[in-house]
Amino acid sequence: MNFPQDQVQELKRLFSDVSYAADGGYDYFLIRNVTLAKPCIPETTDVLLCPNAREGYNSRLYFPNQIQCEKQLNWNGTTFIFDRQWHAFSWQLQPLERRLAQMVASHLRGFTS
Amino acid sequence: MCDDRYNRQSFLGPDAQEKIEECTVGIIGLGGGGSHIAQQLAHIGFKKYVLYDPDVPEESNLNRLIGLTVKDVEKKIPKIHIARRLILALHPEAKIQAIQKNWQESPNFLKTCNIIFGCVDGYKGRMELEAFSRRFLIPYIDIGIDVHHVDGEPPNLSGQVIASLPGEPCMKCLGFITEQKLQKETQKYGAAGHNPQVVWANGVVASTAVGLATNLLTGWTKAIPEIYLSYEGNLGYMKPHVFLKYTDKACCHYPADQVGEAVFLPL
Amino acid sequence: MIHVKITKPTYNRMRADLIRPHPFAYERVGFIFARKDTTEDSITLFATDYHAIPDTQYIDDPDVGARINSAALRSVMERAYSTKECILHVHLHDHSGAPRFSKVDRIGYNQMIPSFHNLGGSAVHGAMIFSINNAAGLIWMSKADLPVPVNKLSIVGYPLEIQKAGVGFYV
Repeated sequence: MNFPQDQVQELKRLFSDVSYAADGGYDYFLIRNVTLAKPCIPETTDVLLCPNAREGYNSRLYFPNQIQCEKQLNWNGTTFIFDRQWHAFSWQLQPLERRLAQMVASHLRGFTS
Repeated sequence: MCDDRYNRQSFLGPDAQEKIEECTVGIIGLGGGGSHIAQQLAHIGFKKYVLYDPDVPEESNLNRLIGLTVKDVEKKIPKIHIARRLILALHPEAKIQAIQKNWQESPNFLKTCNIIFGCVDGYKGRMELEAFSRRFLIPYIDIGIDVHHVDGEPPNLSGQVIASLPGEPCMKCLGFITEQKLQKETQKYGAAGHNPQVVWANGVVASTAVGLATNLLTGWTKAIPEIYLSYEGNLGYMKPHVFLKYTDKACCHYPADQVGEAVFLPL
Repeated sequence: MIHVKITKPTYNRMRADLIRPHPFAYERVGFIFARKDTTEDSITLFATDYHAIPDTQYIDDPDVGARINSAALRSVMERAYSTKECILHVHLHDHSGAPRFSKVDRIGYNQMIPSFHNLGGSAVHGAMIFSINNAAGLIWMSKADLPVPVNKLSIVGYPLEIQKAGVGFYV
């Protein structure tokens, strides 16, 4: 894993259960029990952050299921990762949003912005 | 059944037939390419199969899906059953796991394979299959055909056969899968369209893939096969892809320790 | 069913190391690190690396084929502790056909392999013997369990080799 320790620590301060794995040239941070904005269903979920540029996105945040929320999202990122399907909606971050915690927060804003 | 059944392929080696019969092959996609592969593997003597395809053939498949009949289309017989019928006609005792789903929905059967053939559309689908194969140390052979239209020129028929072997260059190393291609595909999401397909081109790449797999299993040529072959459809031949000259020997995308079940290390 | 898979380069590296003569040990030993995958009816161990034991970490004991010191074991266990990998102790039998675990092997492994489970986690550990053309293996699923045999070995490369592991089980 090649990420600055301060970013990893920052992520851990925001989310208590964070772990890391890599696959196929991509990095993945698994963050468990993330609380989503109301009225998303489910209210809490695990998420998988891929901070690498892929498929035209600066980063992607994957969910175990397509989350139901008021906003209509384009779930164009269904991908088999490790051992199961994960789902991501189309959400492009600004190029400068490169800190790990910032990426997660910005992606989660996609449910309400 | 007479032992003479395979005597014309005895050049493959004295224990080749035993290896072939013991090998479990996975075929993802039983359409134009995969149906050729299933047929040829059955003729050679492979007896253990894992087949995945969620689809039911349409009339447009009649131009290329090996074994498909007009009645099958009318009766909406799933593609996996067409392949299964082909195999069982040659080997009534064959062990066939035929799963009418996308492999991602039920991947455990695929783990039992010794060789996996990918006959799927799209770069993302190929990348996922390759990642899975690498993780479970299964040689993966990918085939595909495409037709490019250039204004004022005849259509260009091309294709590929790529063997992605653990430790060897992967499809990203070989420049076949790139982020640009994945991006284009993501942008077209939901508007995939129909890829042009013809039976003879499918047959060429499928046959090449089957020959490559048989060599991999039996070692009959005693020489590691070329892992990236391109099909020049307009000219009618296969040749080693020029990228092979420029590819690093070792793969940087699938390190040796990224195998088995995913282990997330707590931070 | 227990299946061990190893790539040909790693397998060749292992063999090349194990056939080298040692200044005083009759034979060499080494370790394969592996990751596992579990399905309903099988466990597969995927070799990730071969770890050679440096010459200086052998103990001169004429009563056994090879004995390694605590530093050798410590380095193996330290790696497995941080990576959560499985550990397989390996050595060669210089004959063709199915190798067998000897009484000395059995006694030594009964002490060594269960202790690897002190590392915690869900890894399994074991031992394999490779002959010229076959192999036998035993896996301890937990510290308390009796070992179970490896049923299949795949050497993934050119050509692909799929072996039904030998009969050299717990003798």
